[in-house]
Amino acid sequence: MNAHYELPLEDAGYSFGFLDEYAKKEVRRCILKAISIPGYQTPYASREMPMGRGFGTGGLQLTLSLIGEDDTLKVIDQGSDDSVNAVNLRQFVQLTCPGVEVTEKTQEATLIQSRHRIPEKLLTEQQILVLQVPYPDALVVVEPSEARRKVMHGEADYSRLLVKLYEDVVRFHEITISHRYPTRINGHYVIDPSPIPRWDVPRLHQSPALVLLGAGREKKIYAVPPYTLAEPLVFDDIAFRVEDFHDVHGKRIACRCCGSTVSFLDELIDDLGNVTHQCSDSAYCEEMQETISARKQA
Amino acid sequence: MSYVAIKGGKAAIDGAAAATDYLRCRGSLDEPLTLAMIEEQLRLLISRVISEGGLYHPRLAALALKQFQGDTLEAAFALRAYRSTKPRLLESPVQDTANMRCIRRISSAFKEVPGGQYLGATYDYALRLLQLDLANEDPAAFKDVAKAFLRNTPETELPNNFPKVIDSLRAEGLLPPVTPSRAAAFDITRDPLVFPVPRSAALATMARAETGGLLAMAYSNMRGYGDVHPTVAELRVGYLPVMLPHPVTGELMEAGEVLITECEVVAMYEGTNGDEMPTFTLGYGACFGHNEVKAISMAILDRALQKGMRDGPSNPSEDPEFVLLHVDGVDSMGFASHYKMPHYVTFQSDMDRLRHTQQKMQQKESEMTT
Amino acid sequence: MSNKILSVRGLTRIHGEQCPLCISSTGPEHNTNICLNCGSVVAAHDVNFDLYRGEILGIIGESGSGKSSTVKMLYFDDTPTAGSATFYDSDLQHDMFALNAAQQRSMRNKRFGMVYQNPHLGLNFQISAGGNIAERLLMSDLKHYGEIRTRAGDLLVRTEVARARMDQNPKTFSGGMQQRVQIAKALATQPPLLFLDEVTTGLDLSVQAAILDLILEIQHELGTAMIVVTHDLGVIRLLAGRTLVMKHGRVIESGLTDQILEDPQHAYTQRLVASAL
Repeated sequence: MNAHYELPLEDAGYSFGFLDEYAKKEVRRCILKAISIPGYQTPYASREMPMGRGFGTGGLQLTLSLIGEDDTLKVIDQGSDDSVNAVNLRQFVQLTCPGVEVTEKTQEATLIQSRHRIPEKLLTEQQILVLQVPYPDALVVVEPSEARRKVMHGEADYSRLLVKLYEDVVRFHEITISHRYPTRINGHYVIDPSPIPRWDVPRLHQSPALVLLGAGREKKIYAVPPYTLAEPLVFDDIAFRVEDFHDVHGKRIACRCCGSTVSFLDELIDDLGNVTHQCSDSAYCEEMQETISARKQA
Repeated sequence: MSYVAIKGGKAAIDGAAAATDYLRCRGSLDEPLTLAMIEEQLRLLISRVISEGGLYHPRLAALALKQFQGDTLEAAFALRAYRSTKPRLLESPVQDTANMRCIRRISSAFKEVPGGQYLGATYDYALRLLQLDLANEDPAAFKDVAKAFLRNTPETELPNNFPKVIDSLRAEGLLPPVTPSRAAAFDITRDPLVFPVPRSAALATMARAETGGLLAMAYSNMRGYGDVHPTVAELRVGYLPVMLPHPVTGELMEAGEVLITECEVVAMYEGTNGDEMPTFTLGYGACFGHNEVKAISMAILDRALQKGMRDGPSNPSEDPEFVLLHVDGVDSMGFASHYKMPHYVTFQSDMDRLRHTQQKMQQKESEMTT
Repeated sequence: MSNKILSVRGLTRIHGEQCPLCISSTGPEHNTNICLNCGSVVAAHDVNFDLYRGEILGIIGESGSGKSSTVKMLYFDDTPTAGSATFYDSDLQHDMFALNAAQQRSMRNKRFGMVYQNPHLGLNFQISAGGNIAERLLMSDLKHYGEIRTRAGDLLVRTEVARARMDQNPKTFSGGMQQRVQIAKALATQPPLLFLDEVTTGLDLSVQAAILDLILEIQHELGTAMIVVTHDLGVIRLLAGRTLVMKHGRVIESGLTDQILEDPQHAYTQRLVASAL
């Protein structure tokens, strides 16, 4: 032990984007490879970040490698900008990327990092969506060994996964996968689209925006390039169904704040045990509310 | 009644930070912990954190432990995150642990070994009886303990370094000779693990693995989910001089030293193909700091994984994917903790499925009864 | 278009490090498979035969004869040490061991069927009987759930497993029924070539008889070519038009089953025929 050692206290600063330039370069190279092979899980040396594995380090590394001073960033979790994890990530980016604008309005963002939801509003060719991924591999449910899964993906051999869907239908008369619905990209690789609800899966198909998926702990990056086929796995005679927001009388439930009957809803239980619903996408809900009050005034 | 969306995520996070600070500082004493106290008097805790953090910086480890109120997983995590941002200046050449300045050196394989057996500072044979008088330790007596030790220790000529026990096994042909390798070691901080991985990747992953997780895996092998049956040929704890090339002349110079623990286990010989002489097999473990349980566990798993990679795993501790993907403390702790994050959208999706399925089953039942 | 479906030449499998003495020091004349020089096991050496569409070829021998090794190699469960095999599929010819792993898997899934003696090798015990068959249908790109159900059910009916048991796990079935599920699974993709490796060994005699009858019926209905591996002369007599007799890795006699049974040439075959109960 060196008794005279003193901590370099003035050394507390970080480079723009927290990661060093070599790390960012590696991530960008990986992104390019992922886009060139749609749906392929590209391995990369995921760096440790100041937030825990499982809290979005994969998505964050994508964002930090892509973001520049002329970007406008939106961060959401469960569809909300105000969710604790989104707040934490957004603050971190603001801390390490001075000059970057942040926004809650979807249409203002150039880069959107999201956990578990795709915004209701259709994205544009000028936008990139980054999704946070816990499990990159749809086959993990039938095969624990990564080495064996790699061969199955290479040969597009998803029969064991399809058998699982078959057994589901036999037992429960429908496919019971709720979120993380296996989706085939560009006709070959089947991905786990991250824990987005089935509601959001159709938004991957022919999307004008680039969708990037980052798994920090599992150390994989994959992509759904713009205007690419994204087809949820189904049987020819069993259609893909999204979540159902109809009440017991068959009436579509509306958001309690803005009245929307076309968005994904969060179910809330208040202190008296009453169940109400409101839009999961908070920015969308606010915009709807503004439109309504503008109309009222007009 | 109109509803307003509740906001307050930022306030909640700020509140959580204030609450943890409060808990750290509200004690009955006026003095905060000093980094020197942690570093000097809790050296084994420091060893654990620098080893799992993968960063040899005892002072920063002390800071991390102080900041995170003693949580070793969080402290190791903080060191890793800090390391993430540091530029790579150079890579050291291979260091020879035979040059270690040992503070402890034992061999279970032989009663006497060249250089001698040195028990050193160990609790192995200590009685785990709580010393209650530590509750009111007199500062003067405390200061005198170290002075007395040095006073009472006679001047002896200690060897500068000790030959490796396994070298004598090699000389007799009981262990295979070392085949020098030109291949660079696999850098787990720069390249992803894609199985099958080389042995250097497995060793590097285990060197910074979480001690408890690694121990559990090794223990499973010791108890019978595997058959390494090891003998510790040598266990060393000591200071390894770090030799780096001079920036101008290129000559190797001692830049400093690091405290490491190294363990070499010898396992039973295995069958060979044809005329090759059978030999013992070797398992190797090494980590930053003084952590013998970790080094021993690592050596046993090294042997188990080599066997698994050669013959196919017959137990989890022999399966490289199973071991290497589950022993990293930062990965495992992060994922365990992430379950506390909001998952209400995915849960909404789950509820939708279950409600539907229940509906369908009810329909089927009522169809059957009509 | 030739009537041939499979052509095997010089097929050889040696386990171990091999040496120049392996072949000459093993075989029926030496009464061993094990090379006395290097300890390698010559499981099979220089197996040659042709198989024609719709015909059943029997391979008979005791343990260590090389009959199972031969079939394992042809089903891509093992890699030959030497030799070649050509599969004739409509107008196409495939050099089987020159194909890459993906092509071999595809051929195995779509053009071959295999029934193992041990149902744990042929069935997945984590899914239902119907699921086992569905897996094969899904591998051959059938994606219609209703049709998969119908076909799987039909196959189970045909192999005399009740349709009602389709959704049960084969763990709960008797040995004979598990073999029937294997047969149904093997036939799912209507393969032109079926391998049957000791499929009735270990089953009760009455169950054996029923399964052998089933195999014959299938051959009549579908015209599937088959290679039947067995140590039981009775099975050969019932099923196989032509037969290979193997001992210690070599084919010692081959020809029409009737002729071999009536007039065996090799001393071993004579003993075999004479000892049949």
